[in-house]
Amino acid sequence: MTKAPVISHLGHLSRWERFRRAFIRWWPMYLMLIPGIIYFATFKYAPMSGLVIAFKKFNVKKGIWGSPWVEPWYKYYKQFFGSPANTRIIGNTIRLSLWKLAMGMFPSLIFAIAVAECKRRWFARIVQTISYLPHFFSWAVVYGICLAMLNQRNGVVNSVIRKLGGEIIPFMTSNKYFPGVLVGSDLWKGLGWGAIVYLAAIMNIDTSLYEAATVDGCGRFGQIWHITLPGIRKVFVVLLITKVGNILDAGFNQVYIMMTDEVRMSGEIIDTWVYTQGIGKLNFSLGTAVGLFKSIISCGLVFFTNALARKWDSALW
Amino acid sequence: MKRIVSLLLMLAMMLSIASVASFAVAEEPITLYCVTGKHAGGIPASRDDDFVYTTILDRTGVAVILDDLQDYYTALGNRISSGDIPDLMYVSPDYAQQLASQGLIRDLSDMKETETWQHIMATYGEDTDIPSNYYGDEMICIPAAMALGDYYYEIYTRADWNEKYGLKNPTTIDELYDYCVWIRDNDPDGNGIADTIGFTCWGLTGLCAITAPYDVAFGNYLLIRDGKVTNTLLQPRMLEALETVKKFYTEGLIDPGMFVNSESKATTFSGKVGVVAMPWSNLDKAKYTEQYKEVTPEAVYLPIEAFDAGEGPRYTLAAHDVYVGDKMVVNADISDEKYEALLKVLDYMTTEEGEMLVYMGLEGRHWKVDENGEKVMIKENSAETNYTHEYQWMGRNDARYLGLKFPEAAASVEWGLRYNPLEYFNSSVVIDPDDYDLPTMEDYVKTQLIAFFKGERELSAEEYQKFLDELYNIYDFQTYMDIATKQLVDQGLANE
Repeated sequence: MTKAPVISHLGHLSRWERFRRAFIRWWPMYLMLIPGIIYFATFKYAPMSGLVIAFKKFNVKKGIWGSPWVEPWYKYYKQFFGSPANTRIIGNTIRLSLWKLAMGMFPSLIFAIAVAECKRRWFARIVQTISYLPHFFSWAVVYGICLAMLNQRNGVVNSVIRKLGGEIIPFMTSNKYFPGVLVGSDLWKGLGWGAIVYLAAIMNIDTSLYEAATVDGCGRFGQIWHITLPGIRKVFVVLLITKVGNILDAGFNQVYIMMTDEVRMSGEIIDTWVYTQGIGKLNFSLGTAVGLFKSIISCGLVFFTNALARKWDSALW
Repeated sequence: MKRIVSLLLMLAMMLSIASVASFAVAEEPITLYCVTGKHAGGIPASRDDDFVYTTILDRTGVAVILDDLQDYYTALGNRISSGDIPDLMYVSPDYAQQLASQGLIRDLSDMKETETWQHIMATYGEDTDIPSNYYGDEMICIPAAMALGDYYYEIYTRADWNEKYGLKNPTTIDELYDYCVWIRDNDPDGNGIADTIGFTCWGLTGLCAITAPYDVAFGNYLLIRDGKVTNTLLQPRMLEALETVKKFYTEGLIDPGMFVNSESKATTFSGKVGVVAMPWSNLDKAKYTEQYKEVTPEAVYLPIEAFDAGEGPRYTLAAHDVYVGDKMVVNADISDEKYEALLKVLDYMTTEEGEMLVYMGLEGRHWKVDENGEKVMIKENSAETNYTHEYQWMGRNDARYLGLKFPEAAASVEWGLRYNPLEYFNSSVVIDPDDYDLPTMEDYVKTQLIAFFKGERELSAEEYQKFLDELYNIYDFQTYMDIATKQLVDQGLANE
């Protein structure tokens, strides 16, 4: 492999001159960047100009640039933050997201370690494959399964409770239990899939470390604590940063499919509200305004988490 | 050899040019691209098998390409936002108003100058020309006749249980209560498990079976009483209705799965319920009867009289102008040629043949005239006509249509059409989202009414007043009522 260019001796040159020299030397590499740049410019950055409709009364016929500006410019933010439902839906969104974040990270981590520690590889492989399956189910299917398991009248869980002489629990119809059902079904669906990254990271840990630890008399739990967990710390932090970035996305598909009027108070999230108010009523500006708000918050959170991760030397940049 | 190959190549090129040329001269029919979200089953996969399509094409020379979209309004919204607007769209009145406010749909007022208009009025009735078809002075919807009976919620009991156990159909709310208690406690399906339930229905609308006799429905419904605009939430007997439903709910007489239509249907079809309130079209059509007979062969669901709670027997809820408010609207940019084609198709649908085509299918294949001179369905082929309502762009005359098409449900149809529904006026009022946040208020109303009867919120006169205060103070309910009142007065439906 070609060695990276030593540029320290070029310190006296201007930035542009340094770039010019690097470009002349590595132009094939720069050439290979072009498709990537075109892709991001076309599909990621150019569409961002459409965000301007958050401040316009968007009319499909007039288009993005022909639509008039709204008065005042923050009209849609006022509509969103002024809605009586605002506190409830932002609260629901953050609460659900935090629960999903916690339940999406730690159980998968524990599961991955358990699978990696399993000495019978054939068994570990079977368990792992089975655990992936729910990831491929659509939320409609998961909802069907939840109904079959948890409904009040003849759900499996309530039938067992009834047989044991207990009180029936309205899992799907009570504001008290519904968030738990959302988090639980999300955990069930994503557990195996979420463990893949951790497993890959565990497989990359140098096995000689484990051998040395065994020789030094370190037990299984000691090895997990001193070798496995530190070995996958970086992966964990990267995942955490990306998940924190999506904290205001509490899972539109899942909530939209599973929510009924009975549990709206505990289940309605920003995205479902925007759907009803925005897309459903052709009010694209409102949807965009809220989307922009979510993106700004998420972006800030990503920077914040990254700064926090820097303290443990695990920052992304 | 080379010469032969060259000749062959030249021949191939000439043939392909000739074929292109022949395509170019072949006359293509005018195509109308139409989207709906009716989720009708049985639309043929191939257009050639769609007898409505082929017949309309044959009679008018217009190809109507119909697309029944899943997750309709999301899909339609995506198409509209990307500029891919269909020629014809089947939408709700408020969505039509939104489209009109953005200039996306055509003003159809000029249709009134045509003969087609005369034919529509003659066939589907002058009362189809209603205020909600208009956006200001513009007529934005193709008029459609009232579709009443199809969505009427009716009350059914298990006639076989009545006969077996000597039960009498309930006639009052108190009798309904006793009936449901009996069903809950006496294991009428005889399986040794206490798994039968008194009453199930489809969501809050279905509860109207119990609440309509109190002149109340659970939700935001505009009513007109003594010429004045009011709301079900302000009705004097609302508290009484809530208390009744609460009594049923907390005593386990109402199916807890009532908010999920599929679950309520499963309870019904598995033969575990004594009283059912759902649209007859989901229970009494032959295909559904077959389904529940497969699980519970002895089950016989028959409609019963509505209960009386002092305000007269009523058991359903219906919009003032039209229950199924969806109408056909036309793309603003439709070409003159396509618009002419649309008029041609509409005109055809007003003829006896066209009307029967979208009602019952083809004469001789799907229906015939019997010895008494009556039109009757040909049973063997009737399943092929399951989707024809996709083409009922101008609605239908239910009293005529339902009786002809679903003779097996004649009793329910007759029952459904006999009762005066609790008539509400929401679809005659257009609320601009910039003026009032209606969905948020309606969601709050529903959640609180549910909380009242489920016991999650105390049910008392004081607490109900507190709920109304919340509506006025936080959700600005007065603004909504003022807008609604003004519009209904302007339309001549209510007094000042």
